[in-house]
Amino acid sequence: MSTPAPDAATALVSVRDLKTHFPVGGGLLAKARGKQQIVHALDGVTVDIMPRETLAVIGESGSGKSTMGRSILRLEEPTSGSVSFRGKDVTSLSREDLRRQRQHMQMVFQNPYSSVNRRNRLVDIISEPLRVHGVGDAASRRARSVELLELVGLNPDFLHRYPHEVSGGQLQRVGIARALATGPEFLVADEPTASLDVSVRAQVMNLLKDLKEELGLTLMFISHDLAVVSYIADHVAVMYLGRIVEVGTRQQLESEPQHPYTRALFAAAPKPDPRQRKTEPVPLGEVPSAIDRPAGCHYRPRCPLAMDICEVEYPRLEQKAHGQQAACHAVPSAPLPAGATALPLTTA
Amino acid sequence: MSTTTTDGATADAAPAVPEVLRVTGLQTSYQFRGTPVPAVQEFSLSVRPGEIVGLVGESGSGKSTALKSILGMLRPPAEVVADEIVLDGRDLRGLSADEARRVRGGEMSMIFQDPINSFNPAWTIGSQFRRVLALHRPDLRRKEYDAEIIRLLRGVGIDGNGKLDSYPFQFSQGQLQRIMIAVACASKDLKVLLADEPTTSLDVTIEAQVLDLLRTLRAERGLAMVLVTHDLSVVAEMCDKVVVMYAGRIVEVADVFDLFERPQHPYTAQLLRAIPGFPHDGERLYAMRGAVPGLDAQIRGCRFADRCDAKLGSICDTQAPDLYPVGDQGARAACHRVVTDLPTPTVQETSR
Repeated sequence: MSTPAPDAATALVSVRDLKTHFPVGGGLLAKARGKQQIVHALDGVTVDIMPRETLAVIGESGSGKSTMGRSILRLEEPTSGSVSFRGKDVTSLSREDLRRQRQHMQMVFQNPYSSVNRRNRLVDIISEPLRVHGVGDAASRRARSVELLELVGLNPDFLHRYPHEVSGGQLQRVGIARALATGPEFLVADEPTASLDVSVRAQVMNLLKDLKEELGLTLMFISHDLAVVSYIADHVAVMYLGRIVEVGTRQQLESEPQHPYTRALFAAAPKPDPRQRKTEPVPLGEVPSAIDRPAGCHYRPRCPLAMDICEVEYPRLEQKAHGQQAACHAVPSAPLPAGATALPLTTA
Repeated sequence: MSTTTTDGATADAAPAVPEVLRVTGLQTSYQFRGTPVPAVQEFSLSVRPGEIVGLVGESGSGKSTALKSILGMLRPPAEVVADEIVLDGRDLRGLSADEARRVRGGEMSMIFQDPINSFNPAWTIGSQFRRVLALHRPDLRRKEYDAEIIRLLRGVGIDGNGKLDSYPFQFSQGQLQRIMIAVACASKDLKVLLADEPTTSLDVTIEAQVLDLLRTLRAERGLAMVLVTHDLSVVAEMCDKVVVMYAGRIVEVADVFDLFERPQHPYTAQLLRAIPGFPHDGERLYAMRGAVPGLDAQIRGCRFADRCDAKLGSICDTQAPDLYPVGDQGARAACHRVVTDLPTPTVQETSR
């Protein structure tokens, strides 16, 4: 189990041993016989997010990065573990209390078109959170919508347009404006630029970074795009099959990645320079299913460093030589210096 | 890498090796509310055996439409006009429906972005594969099909034993993408493989495997490929030659090394600048202002003029630039700067 971490008191969001499992397949009969299968989408994640910092979560599809974001906001109900926001336990809040709590923690979704009601005008989309939370009257909500549009760099005459009348990049700005409507301190952005073209992506990334500075936001940024993460992150967590396999500051991970999966991920990403074409072999195999995970370390079947112990025991997430934490038997651990500065992560 | 990269690379350069695919004067229009809207205009392409040509652009640039037009996949009301679409010396436009069907999948085949929707979910992989063999492998007898399928699957790194009766949902995305490549390459006469964003829906480690597979196919069978992608990193990784499209037209054609080192069209230069580096140096990202004009926009001058950081002046607003030759290696760029001999400046000001 997790020991209370030194930074837990100052963290804005503290996640402790969070698990989210989904039952799949099988009808009533399988359920009655106890044969129902379980997807371990999120399987014991512990992490702290400091105020005004950006934690980027990277990993491939099925790694649980989106489930982690959704579970922290309780858009998915976690199976066990806890999330606290400013020291207040979010996981035990009643529906009504949770609704109030959501004013402080909001989400930006990947696909702007599927995250809005296409029949609503942009003014209704942006002011919806205010209406839900009963903030102000119609006139003040409208004034706030204009303010929000300007904040995300859109002209106020966008208010009366419909989603199909604006571009993807503009609609993603609307999604960000909506998330900011209630003045949240914490924002989870789930692949906010993945569906945008290169030239528009940079605009949205700059906007997010500016807003973070201006409004003092704390950000959890979920992405598979390493370059985009490198631009915005303070800390980076790498996920594989529902668990964090490596976490540290952006500089630590980029200069000295420790976990063999992190290294494979960095090596596999194509570089925008034909002189840096890959010469080394590409990583083998695919991510195994989260229903039927390999025993021991989940990365073992693909791992070039696998040893005997990896077959039987899942490695603890512990501090490695360069300062970050990684869950790997093959990488030697470093003694924790007094007053450790790394993220207070414990066993998964 | 390939020996075909450095010497002349486009239609007009005297090719040492005859091209396997040549397209000129291609124009494709779609119908929108009763009026034809041009999606691709004045498109041309030349591909030599064993060459990988990248077709790059953002959404709406017409790159996928161009690819589908070449293969003859578009049906009315879409309208495809071309001066020539020549595959291995034969113009495809004059073929009967039956002949065209044998060319598609026989001499030229295509792989798509989404492997899941490219298979019929209600049919087994084996039965879908057998249909392709029945059409394109007259050298095989029916009872030899399964052995051949397993051999082809092994070529893409999949053990097909006992899996031919499996349905598409029983495979992962990465596996399906590789199976699709095996199906596309089943014909012995295959000369050109058209790939429409083949790795866009895949994770990075799987993407690396699929790109590796495509490179191996090129090396082993001398296949020519046209790779449509929005991802300049994939272009850098794979291509010998690059065609950049913007708003339905070609704006630049260049050897891949030249394109990344000395882009001739301001759009290419700005696009390259907009990619964040990894690891990132902390500098603010360069962002291109504005957006791509609509397909039906009436533009007299250069279509990129509004967003261009290297605009010359009024000529850019009044006169559309031709696709001028750059140097004598077959490179081209549709920018007035090419004929005025002004260099494409490296963009300094960062706009938001």
